[in-house]
Amino acid sequence: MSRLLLPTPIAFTTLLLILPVAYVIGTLVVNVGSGLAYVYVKIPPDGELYRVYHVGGTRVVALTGYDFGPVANTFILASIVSIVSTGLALVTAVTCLSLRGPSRLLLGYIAPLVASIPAPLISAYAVIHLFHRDFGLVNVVLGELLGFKIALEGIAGVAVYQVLNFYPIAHLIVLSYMELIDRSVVEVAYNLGGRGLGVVSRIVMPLAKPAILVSLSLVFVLSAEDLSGPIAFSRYNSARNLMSYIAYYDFVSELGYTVSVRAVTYIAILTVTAVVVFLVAWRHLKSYLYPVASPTRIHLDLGLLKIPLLTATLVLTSLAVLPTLLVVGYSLTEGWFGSRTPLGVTVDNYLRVVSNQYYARALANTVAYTVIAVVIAAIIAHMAAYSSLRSNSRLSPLVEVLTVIPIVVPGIAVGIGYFHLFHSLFKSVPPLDPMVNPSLYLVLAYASRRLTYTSRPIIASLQKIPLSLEEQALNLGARALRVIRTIILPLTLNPMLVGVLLTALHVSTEFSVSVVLAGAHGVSASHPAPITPVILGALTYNPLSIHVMSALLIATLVASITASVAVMLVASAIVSGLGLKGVLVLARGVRV
Amino acid sequence: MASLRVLAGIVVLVVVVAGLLVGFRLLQAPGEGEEATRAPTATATESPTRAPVRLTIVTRLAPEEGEALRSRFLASSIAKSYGIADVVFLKEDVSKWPIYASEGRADLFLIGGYAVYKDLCDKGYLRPIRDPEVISIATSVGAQIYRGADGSVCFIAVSRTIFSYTVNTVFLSKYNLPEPTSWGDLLNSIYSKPLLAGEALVSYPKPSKSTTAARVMQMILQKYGWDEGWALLTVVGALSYIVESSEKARDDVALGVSGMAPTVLVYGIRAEEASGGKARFVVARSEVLPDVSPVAIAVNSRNVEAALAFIKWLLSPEGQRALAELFYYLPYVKPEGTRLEDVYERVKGNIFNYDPEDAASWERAAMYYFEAAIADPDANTLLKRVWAKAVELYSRGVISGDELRSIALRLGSPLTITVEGRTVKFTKDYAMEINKRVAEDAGFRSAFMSSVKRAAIERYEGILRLLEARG
Repeated sequence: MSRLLLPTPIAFTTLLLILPVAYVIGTLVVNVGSGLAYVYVKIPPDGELYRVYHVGGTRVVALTGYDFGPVANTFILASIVSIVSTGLALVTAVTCLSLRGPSRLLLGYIAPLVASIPAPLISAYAVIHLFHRDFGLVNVVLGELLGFKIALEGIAGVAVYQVLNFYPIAHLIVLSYMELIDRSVVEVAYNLGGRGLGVVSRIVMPLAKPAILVSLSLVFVLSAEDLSGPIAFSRYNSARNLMSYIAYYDFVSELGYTVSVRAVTYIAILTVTAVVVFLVAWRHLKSYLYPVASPTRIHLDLGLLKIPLLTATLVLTSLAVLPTLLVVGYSLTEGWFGSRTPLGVTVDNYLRVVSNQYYARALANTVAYTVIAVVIAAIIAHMAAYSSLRSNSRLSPLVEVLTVIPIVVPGIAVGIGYFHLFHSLFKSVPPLDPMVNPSLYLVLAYASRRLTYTSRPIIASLQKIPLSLEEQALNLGARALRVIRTIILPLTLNPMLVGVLLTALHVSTEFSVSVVLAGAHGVSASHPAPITPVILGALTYNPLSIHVMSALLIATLVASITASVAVMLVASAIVSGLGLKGVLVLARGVRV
Repeated sequence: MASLRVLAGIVVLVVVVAGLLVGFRLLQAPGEGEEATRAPTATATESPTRAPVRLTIVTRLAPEEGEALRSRFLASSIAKSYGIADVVFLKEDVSKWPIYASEGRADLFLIGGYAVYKDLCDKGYLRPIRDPEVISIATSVGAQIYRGADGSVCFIAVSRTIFSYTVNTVFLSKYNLPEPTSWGDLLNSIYSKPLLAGEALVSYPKPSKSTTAARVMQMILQKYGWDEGWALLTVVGALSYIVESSEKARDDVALGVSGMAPTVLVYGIRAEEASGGKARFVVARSEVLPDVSPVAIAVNSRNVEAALAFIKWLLSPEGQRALAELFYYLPYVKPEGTRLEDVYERVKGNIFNYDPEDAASWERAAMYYFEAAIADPDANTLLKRVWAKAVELYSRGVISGDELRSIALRLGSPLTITVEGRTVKFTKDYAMEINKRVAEDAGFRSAFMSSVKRAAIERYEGILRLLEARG
């Protein structure tokens, strides 16, 4: 059994992630020449940074942005978004480090976590609701206060949307790393006369360099592969001129899943770019210690700058949280689609979620898939963590690389690859055919795509566990599996649960894989679809269903996360032999 | 202690495996074409010789629509007398329909475009309908019957829907625009006002993503002729947000993001409801396009008798009323007392004489041409600049109305392209020549669209230079 510890994670990621994507990209080999025709840059670019219009007595400042063509747009956008997001994250992280107690927890962790909750499809409606030049809620306020409106249009709109979406992730990365800076270093700086931003710029920033680089590289990849932002602004040509958007919609057609040379070219470029960024930042990704919230580590004195920085942080955090709050608002109201105010407040949307068989089934499916995917990911993650850090094999570095690669693989490539590859292999074996049994492939795709969220906290935590504990166990005759069960699992429980929470969040809102594999299965009490294809179908059918769909999304998120954490606690209690009481104590965190 | 832990581990493993197996069984989609398990008791009205059947219907209906139709059908006497215990609707991309047919996973196909059914029929994926009762009922209500090359009935239209457009009255009044009465009205320069203010009048879906957009495009080319039709489509493209689906266009016009969108009747009514009356479905003057809502039996269906029963029900007064009330499909029998009665009357004098056979011979080539020359982001951005410039010059009196029209014709006249070393004008004959290949050969399609885009951009840049030289 111990011999399987190393090859299992390698086989898992290779068969379930790399192979399907390679299958899709392999079709490009035949058409390399025509693929290159889609790689171009428009010089001079189309469009402008902004334009002022006067419509019906109102001045409208429309931010649109330049259009350099899909390849250049993607890279320029990703660069700008990653730099701005990381910059803003530095501001807010430093500000949070000057706070204490509940305010630090709220502004530092809770609000950004809420802001980073994905809301596929519904967020596009929320964006229109917030930023449309005429009826957008932000512009209603701006128009009243300042006499002009700001319209987010084109690629500039995508940039603002992505910054608001990804800045919370950058903030969490930077802040949690800064929390681990040795308190004594900062205190010595203050004792030697350091003040305000001087301490920040000379001590904190240099020490936080790995986190800054991780934030830059991760947000760059997320921006380049993002679909939500381009979809939200897709009526504008420059927003459609992004590789991820073109690739996705080239595949999905009214006439079916067509093979498009352009789509495969862009997926190949995105994948190669993500791998290059990943390799460049690998040294820092490897050493980056995953977030361990500890609100009492360091405290910064920002002096007179505290008030303006705090104000900026509050504004930024509020803007980032707004789309999520709007989704919550949709779930508790009716008749708010396209209107300034809702018709009424109600809990009926949640009641409809549980009373409608179809929606309830989607919720149950998502919870089940999430729990199973999380369990699989946790098992593979522990195997990968142990074999990459404790095994002396030459393949150990490969295992660690494979735990990070899932984050850079485009979801659309995985979905299409699964469908084409596994249907052609197993069409005569119904339980293994994705057309008949999408559930199996959904679970496997989820577990493989989100492995990074589960594995990185465990690996980071395992690095801090003294080897002597395991060596003693081995000397007393314990085998590797027992060491994992009785030593590593209990000591990494807290970070594992953080990973479980993030994995469950992203699995239950997974979009492209879910829609490709399970988008067909329609009405019956036993359909296998998770919530995202159901949301897509409902909004397609009737835009007023946004309210019930928002309730379905929120109810599913709560249920999935709760169930995943509960199952992992129980499983850990049984597997480690510590019992539930023991694991609950350990779940609060262990300093080793 | 150790043995207890081993036992606990074994129990956990058994529970997990059992859970996975039970979960697989519970979550498994209803097997296409499989026989249902026998019902525990038979009702008195069931024929003692009929085993309970579960029909599998592959469709383009939304899940909610399928559920509504399922409830009505299962409550009917036909369903009971034929022992149909359940109906499963699967909304599937049409590219997968042949797989469902050939592998015996489906019993019926319902709704979707005429071209899709013709293609399935030609390739032998549909079972001929030979039941005299079904054919008699269809004939008696005036339903259209489509026959294959061998003369057998391939599919039957159980109702119709109509394509026209929906407008948002608030958006139109923002720019003081009259409600357009037909697509041809958009050539009037007043409809370019939103473009000059950085907005778009129309939300127009890409034809490859929207049956509605594809049909409207075909109607324009048939009604206005090939060359003038492309000129009108090009101007429409200049005035449009290009969106990815009929639903997005519907939502844009319901919200007031745009002022007009091509919609099928049901989406127009949904837009009216969602907008609180600000959106309105318009019966375009002489440009209403009816489309049939077909039903057909899959070639390897294992429940042929039950499938025929479902078709009989659709053609019955009960079924026709269900189609009108649930989906706002125009039945062949006048839907008295329903919301559609008024639409049924208004549509009568405004139906365009659409030729589906003609359209089917060039529609794919036209679709990809549109997407390369008009809908492509780079081409569309330039097109908007050119048309905005032309309208601006017209409004300043630098060019006349005839010149503006001439510019529209120049912008839209079919391009001369070079594909695989051959230089050719995109005429209707050429479109028919490449229609099949552009649909099936991804490499050729890519080369075709690239050359169209190149030619379009070259033309638009040339015209823009000329216009900018005028002032």
